[in-house]
Amino acid sequence: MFEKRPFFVIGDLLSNAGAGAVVGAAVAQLVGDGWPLPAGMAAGMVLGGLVATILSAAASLLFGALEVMLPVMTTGMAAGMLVGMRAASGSARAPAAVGAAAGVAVLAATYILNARLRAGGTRWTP
Amino acid sequence: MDALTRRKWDRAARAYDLVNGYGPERRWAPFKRRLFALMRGNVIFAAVGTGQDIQFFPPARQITGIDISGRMLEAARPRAAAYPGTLALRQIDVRHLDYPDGAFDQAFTSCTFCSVPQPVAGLRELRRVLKPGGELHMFEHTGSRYLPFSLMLHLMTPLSRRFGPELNRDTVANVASAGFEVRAVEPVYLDVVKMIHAVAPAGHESAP
Repeated sequence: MFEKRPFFVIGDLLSNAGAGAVVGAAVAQLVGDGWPLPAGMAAGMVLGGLVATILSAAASLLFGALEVMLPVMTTGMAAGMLVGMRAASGSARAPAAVGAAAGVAVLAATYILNARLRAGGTRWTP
Repeated sequence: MDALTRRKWDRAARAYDLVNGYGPERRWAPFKRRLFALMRGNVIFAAVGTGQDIQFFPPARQITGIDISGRMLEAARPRAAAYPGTLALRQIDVRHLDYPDGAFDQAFTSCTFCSVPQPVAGLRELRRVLKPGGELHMFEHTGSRYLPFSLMLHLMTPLSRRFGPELNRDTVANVASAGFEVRAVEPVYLDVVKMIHAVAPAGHESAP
């Protein structure tokens, strides 16, 4: 039930890790030490969502439509929130790596949810 | 014919293959091949678009491919001509079919009812032109029940519907509302991309 075709697995990984890294780096430029934590998280989520939407549109040309857009946009919001929270609380080290890790975690979660949903579907029997 | 919808898809035809022709079609290829392998008898395919799906049709079938957009059908013609079977293309709105009741054994759709305005009306027309017991097999994307996907799909729909499909429809419910018996729903990706299998109940021609 998992996607097993290497082209798409690698594409999913690159798309999500790449988007997470770009979002992490961008949010670290925006949010600084001294921001209120909720504001840092919210700004990170919004910026991350916008950046990831643009990146997902490009990646979807190669690797699939909704299979790319949904996890990459989720990655953008999650990575943006995480990096925004860290930056606001003064620990802004390696934001791109933190964003990329968030992307891999989001992708893993969507793979697991997808497998569970597909296992629960009903097949056509004529 | 709905001129607004026709113009929208005429415009979309220019970039349709660029946007959808590589990644999405390769990703969905195994599912579409399996779905279209069910084709038998006299088949109506709504909406055939630029004919991207023709590559997945099994050979030697009798298919009528319809679409509201003339530009889409222009792009589909070479692919239809190369199909090793009978594949006729017609420009017609799925909500206003001029085929008699019970003209087809099966109806197929592929990313169609994300885009048809008044989808239940279009599905009712498909039900009308199907024989009693005729089958509807759909490959469709819909909204989601799960956060954050449902939120994203709702937020993107006001923009996406200007250029193409709506992303938040409940097509399974629409199929049931149109009077079909939904027999199976097979997820392809999450609860968003799915294959829907339904049957037109016997004696349906007199239904509204």
